[in-house]
Amino acid sequence: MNAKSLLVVLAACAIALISGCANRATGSIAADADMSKVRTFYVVKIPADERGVDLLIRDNLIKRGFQATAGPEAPATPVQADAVVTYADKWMWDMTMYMLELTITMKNPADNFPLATGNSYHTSLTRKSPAEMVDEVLGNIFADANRKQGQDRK
Amino acid sequence: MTAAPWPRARRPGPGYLLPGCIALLGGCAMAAGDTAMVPASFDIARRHPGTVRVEVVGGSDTGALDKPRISDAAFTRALAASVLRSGVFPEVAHGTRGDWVLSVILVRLDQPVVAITATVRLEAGWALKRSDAGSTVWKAVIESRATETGLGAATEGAARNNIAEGLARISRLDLSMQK
Repeated sequence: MNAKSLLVVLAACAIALISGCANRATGSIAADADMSKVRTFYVVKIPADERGVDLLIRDNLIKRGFQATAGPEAPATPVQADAVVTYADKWMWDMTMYMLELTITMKNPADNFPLATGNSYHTSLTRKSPAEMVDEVLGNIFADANRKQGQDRK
Repeated sequence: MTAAPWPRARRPGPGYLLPGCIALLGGCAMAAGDTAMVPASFDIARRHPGTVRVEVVGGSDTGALDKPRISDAAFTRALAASVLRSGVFPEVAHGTRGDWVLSVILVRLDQPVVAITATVRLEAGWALKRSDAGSTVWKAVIESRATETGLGAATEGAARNNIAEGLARISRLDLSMQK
């Protein structure tokens, strides 16, 4: 086996690993966070994001009945929102580019302390569109918020 | 252009492939272990009286073929063991007991997709409150990182460094004023 063949086999191992059918979806609320009081969001756009993930998050929040705006990290006027939303996205190539992983974090604008976080990870065989990834992450965050509010009422 | 063949004496056979694949796969589908997330040493300024209850959210279990993740249960065990080993609090309470509640939310675990030598970054929100008054006396966002051989080791290292930093900061608090 020559060097080229060896590299092909190792690359195949790597591709089998990263393009398998692993998936994960989580959403969690911080212990003292009261998400029932959070009605307005400001989504901070990552400067390098050319795919408009910030707008997908904003639109999904609006679809859920919240007020949401998106913009740069340091807007000209102070942020008027109950929560600031940040995100981190990872992309992978397998025939086409797809979103491999998305983490969304909601923070208190007063002290930047996290209120909630969610993460979704889908490799190629279980890939979702960016809009579906956003919906899954936010869905899990608000599901955990509802579960926590139910516990608090008991 | 044709690639130069391997010299005959150093030609890799199938025996070289298995370790290569294991090296790639080795860091995966194995969750971060709680004992490996306990720091070996601590920078502790003072020890506080009373008992503390530990709560952790934001982690996730490690699925098949998944990257190594930090589960809530593993981080809770590692944090409880670290509290005792460091002596920041003399006792860890369970259930709903405890003079203090230490809550941690694992916000973001940033891992490379594939790497032999991996750098992993962990961001976590820490909060300490009195369990009777319910008032938060301290909170902070702590970012840590670790570069290790293997994704699992780097993930455990990032968690270990986060725990070490969090407990060091708690030890510098004056909790006697918080009664």
